[in-house]
Amino acid sequence: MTSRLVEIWVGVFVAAGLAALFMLAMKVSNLSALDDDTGYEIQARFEDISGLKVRSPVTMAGVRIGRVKDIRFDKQTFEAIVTMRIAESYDTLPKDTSARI
Amino acid sequence: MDWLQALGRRGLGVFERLGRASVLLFNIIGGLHTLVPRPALVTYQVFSVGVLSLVIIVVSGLFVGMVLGLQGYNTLVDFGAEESLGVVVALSLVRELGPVVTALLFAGRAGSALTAEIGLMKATEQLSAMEMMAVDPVRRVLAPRFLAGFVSMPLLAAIFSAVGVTGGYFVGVGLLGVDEGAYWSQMQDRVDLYDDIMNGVVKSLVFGAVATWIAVFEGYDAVPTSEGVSRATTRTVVQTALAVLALDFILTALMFGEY
Amino acid sequence: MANQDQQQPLVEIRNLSFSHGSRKIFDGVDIDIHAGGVTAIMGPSGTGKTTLLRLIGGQLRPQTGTILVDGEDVTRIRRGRLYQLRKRMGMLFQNGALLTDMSVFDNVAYPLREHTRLPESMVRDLVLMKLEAVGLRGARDLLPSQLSGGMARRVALARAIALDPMMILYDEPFTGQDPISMGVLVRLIRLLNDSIGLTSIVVSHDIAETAAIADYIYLLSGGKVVAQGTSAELERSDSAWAQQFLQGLADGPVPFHYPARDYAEDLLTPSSVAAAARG
Repeated sequence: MTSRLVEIWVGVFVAAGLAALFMLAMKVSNLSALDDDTGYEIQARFEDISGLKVRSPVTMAGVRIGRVKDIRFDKQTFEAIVTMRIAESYDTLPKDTSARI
Repeated sequence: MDWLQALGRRGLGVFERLGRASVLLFNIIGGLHTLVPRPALVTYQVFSVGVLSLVIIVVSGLFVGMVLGLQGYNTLVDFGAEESLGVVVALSLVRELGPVVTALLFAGRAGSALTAEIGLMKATEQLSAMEMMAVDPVRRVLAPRFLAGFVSMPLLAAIFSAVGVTGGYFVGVGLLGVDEGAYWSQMQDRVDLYDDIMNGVVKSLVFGAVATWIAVFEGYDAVPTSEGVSRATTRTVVQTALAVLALDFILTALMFGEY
Repeated sequence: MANQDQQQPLVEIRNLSFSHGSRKIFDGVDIDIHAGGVTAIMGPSGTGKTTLLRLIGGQLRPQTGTILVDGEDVTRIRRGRLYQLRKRMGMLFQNGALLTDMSVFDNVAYPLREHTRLPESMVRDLVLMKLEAVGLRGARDLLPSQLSGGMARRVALARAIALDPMMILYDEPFTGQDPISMGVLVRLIRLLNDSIGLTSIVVSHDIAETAAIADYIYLLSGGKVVAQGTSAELERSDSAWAQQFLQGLADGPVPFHYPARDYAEDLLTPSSVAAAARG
């Protein structure tokens, strides 16, 4: 096996591995929909968040508009405070929008 | 009392080996910088460790993905949740099966070959000859192999998972009629880049380091006879399998456990 | 100045003791290797002749004693210095120990590429010169697996002299060779020693071949030097041990039997094996 052929194969291998990682990131996971730096944050209080986790999707009418950024517990009211980051394009949420899990 | 003594002796033996292996690991890591002017050494090892493992990884990944598709569908359809098939397939692969099965296959395909190669080099006095030529075999022989294994494992695991997800797609969408859009979009909704994919990559980096470390140490520490090399090769496969599974539990508990 | 060399040996081993586990391999050995000569270390198998070479090369450390190589004590030397020293030593291993994944040419070029920054054209010239010296310039593109045992040793010899060392250590160079390649190796060792001013240490138990080229011979047995001298001196030696070794007698100071208890007693106690296993 000439060293040139070895190098080509190694190049193919590394490219295939990176392509696979890229596919996992873009097609399998939510990287394409994830954009933490833009948009705005809103907070909501819940009595019970059951299975909600950080980075769970936030949907409106079944359409994903953002994701959960932070979950905290309020010691005074015994409620959970969920901070959500909503994508910029959905900046027309009515003021009286309510959230539910 | 005899068995107690035997137990103690074995215990001490294990710690002694662990100590020698750790010293070797430090020497290898300390020698990595000498590879910078000689990238060809590493390239060649990536070829024999990574490229030559590609076929088994792709074929296994495909079949594991297809089996996950079948089994997942059969379970999910009872709950009317077959739309979530993509999630089941992707999460199983990315979190667990990708890194773990790749590491096990790696131990059988590449790890055993590394041990046998290094052990034979020792048995035929090639390592001694290098020492006498004032060439440190830890730096010239072991370090490039270690680095190649460390680099190759996450790439192989990623290929395994990607092929597996595709295999699950073939079975689920192509054969069993799961909706194509649901397969991908549910997957994207529930698979997280950091929690799942990155943690999978971290796992495979750890497995790569451990599997290659074991393989390289067993070869270097082998009794330099044909029997010694064959025993060392067996030990590589067994110990890597045990180490990978145990580490997988620890890593999973750290990454996905709710504390 | 020749006299000066006689007094200041290139390798000076003093009071060397080395044990492997509980087995004592050397017990107070003194050996001088003089520059420019061929010194043979002879003795029956299992007397640690190869171990001695590894001790001189610094691959093993003795329990006590000093080994001065060109004025530096390899038993206490620091690793960096030891590697510098090894660049000036060549070692011919019993089976050549060629790196199996590269060609003959690359094997000989290996030490040059590792330790020098010579341009590739000069490496090529040097390699071809060294291969020519061992008569294998035509075999440069072969792989080690395609070489006969004798050829592999000659390639290894070319590799050992690639950096023009001051000294070469030969580990059993004649073992398992047919008469022709044996003759070739005998001639090469002497020729290289004299033509490029090497110092050679030959470890062997092939009496005739070694005696023919050695300037000075040490006979080792039981961890000690039992006889030394030129081959003529050894032949006249009155040491019973030397006579037994040189003439290849089956019995003598080295007994035919491995140490055991009385034969008749052994046969009459059938449970001895079981007892030994339990004990």
